[in-house]
Amino acid sequence: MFRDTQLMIGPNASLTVGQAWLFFGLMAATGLGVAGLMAARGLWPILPFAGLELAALGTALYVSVRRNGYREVIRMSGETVHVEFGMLGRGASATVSLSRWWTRAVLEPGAHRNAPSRLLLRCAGQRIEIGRCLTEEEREQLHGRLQELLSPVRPKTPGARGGEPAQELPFGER
Amino acid sequence: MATTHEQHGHDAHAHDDHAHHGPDKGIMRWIKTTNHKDLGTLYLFFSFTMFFIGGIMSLIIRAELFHPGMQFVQPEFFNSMTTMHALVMIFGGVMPGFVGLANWMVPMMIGCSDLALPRVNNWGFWILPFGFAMMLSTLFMEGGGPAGGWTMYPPLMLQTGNAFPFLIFSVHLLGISSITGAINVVVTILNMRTPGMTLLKMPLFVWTWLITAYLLIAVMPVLAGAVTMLLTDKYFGTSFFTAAGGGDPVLFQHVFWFFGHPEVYILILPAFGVVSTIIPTFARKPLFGYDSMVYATAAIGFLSFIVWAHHMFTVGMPLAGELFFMFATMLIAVPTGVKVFNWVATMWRGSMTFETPMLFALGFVFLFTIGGFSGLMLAMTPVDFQYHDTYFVVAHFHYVLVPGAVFSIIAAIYYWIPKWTGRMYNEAAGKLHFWLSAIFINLTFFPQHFVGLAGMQRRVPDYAVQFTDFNEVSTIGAFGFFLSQFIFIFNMLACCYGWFGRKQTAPARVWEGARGLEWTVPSPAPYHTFEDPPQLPASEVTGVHDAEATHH
Repeated sequence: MFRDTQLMIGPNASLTVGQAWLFFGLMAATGLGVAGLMAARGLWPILPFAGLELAALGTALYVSVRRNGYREVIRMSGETVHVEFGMLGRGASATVSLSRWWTRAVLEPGAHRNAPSRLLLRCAGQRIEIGRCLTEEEREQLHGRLQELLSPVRPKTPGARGGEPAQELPFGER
Repeated sequence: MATTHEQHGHDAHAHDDHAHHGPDKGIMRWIKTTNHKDLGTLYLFFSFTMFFIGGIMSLIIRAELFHPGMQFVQPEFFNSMTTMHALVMIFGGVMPGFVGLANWMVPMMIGCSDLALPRVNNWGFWILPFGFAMMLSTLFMEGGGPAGGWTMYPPLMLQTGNAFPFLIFSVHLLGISSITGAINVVVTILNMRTPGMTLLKMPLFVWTWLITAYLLIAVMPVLAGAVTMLLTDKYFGTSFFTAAGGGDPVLFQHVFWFFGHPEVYILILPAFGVVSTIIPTFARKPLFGYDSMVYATAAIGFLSFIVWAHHMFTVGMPLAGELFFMFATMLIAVPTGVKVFNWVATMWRGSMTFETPMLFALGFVFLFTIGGFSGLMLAMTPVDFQYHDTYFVVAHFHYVLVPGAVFSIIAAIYYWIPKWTGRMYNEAAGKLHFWLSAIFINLTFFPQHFVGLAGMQRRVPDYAVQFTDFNEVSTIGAFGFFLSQFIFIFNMLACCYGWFGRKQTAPARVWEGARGLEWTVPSPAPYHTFEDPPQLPASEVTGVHDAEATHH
């Protein structure tokens, strides 16, 4: 027997978009304020350096905040596995439904030595990569958990029994 | 969300993870690593290599000053040594030392697995050796190394020989490294704190680093712009600071110190964080006045932007300007005093013990305060006219930077090395190291107050015969301090490599009174920590607010 489970995968995040803007605004006000004052005194070469640096900071914040909103939801109900990909607040951008009987979780090594591993859900020729926002260890852990959930045999985890209400895996989701 | 059966699964996997996902082997591990612990280690090894090189330079300076008259080196080389000693110690020793501590400890303290941008972290470190190789290579170039002082004032600095463009380029490289490190630390602290760790629950070390990173991001473009203008003045015919073309050399001093004074706080704020971490541990009490410590740090950060001209009272500023910068500088004593009083209040009626990290932290509080007081003396414009460019200033900033910044780095390493390596350092050797350091550092720099007050000028390889006795004492102190540091180096390397039969037996919570997430993981800390955001139990919160302190 299978058990109904929902796994939500997302990166850990303590910075909201608003807070990121606030911080960037404070930093830009300080940096550009200083550089602007200096430029007004004729020391214009400070301005491009301030601009470059703020661009680097903005990029770092943008990349981090963008990563924060990414979610993958794996819903296992009855004999179906639904996988949804999307950003928080924008709904699912892609949805896939697979047969739970025929789906297997596979952890493949990366394309080259330093590439991250790939966690795939394979079902009758379909290959869906999940858990890209996770670390290597988290991916391995999720792989083990998915193998457990996709196996119709008795679950290995003590205390986990079929028919329990939906539970979530704590992969950075708060 | 964290269900119990999932937690069980995680633990089971965690064991396997460490077996299969340790670091790569060989030199490539260190070149390609993006792991915050590896990079923290690299930063610290680099920092101490630079301390060694800068220390050798200081010994050349002190050997020359042992007696009046010229002894060992030419005056130009002496000036190169004073210039390079400062650049190496500031940009190569202290800053990378604190970045190394941040790399190791910030992720562990806020409960995340790594810094936000690990690859950028790797680039940020590996720029440093190239930058410093370029800077040090200038000593062998035609015309000698840069000799105009680390402040690079024109027009003197523009007389540098072939070394000049290499110096400017290396300063740019070091700036890029600092900025990448600062951006990484800021984004990590803001975005990757474990659930429940609000800003006002962060350990003080993390807070001080957040404000330090803010200062770095704010002022680094000013340094980059200033040195670029020097370069264009020398090679491209501009006249930003060339009086002959209508420029103003004094303007460079304003611009430089607009960067330079916040830089001073960049060097000391993380030290405040280290001491605020160590004192509560060995006093076995929560830090007194956590909130006021945070606000005091922020206040110091803000004030650091409006005091720059106290470095240049003698250039001929308007009286109103001198008064403003004098009072603004004195104002810094208020938040700094808050910190010192809070450290003392933390120790008050605590169950104190005096292990080596605590000894260095106490040494910091006592000796940094001496440096702070001489700073207050220098803040007074009328008397600064007497002190300016004398050994009194040298004594002042060395009291702030050596027993201040350097002692705190040493204290931090003693404090966290059992967590990093799993091996306890030798306590007797640590205490011997502390006492020798404390004695020799005072022997080196305290007499410099006297010769400075009597009028001995800095950056001059010769001096009047009347200053000989104090200079001899100072030189003996410098050699003693340098040699004493080898006790520390061997003690720490023994922890790293298991010399003298040291075993990895340190418990997770190495110090009885230590609080914080870093003490919840085993010692040595696993290669990957906190792959899942940990719970933040109330017992591990170091940011204890006044109202809660009585219940802690």
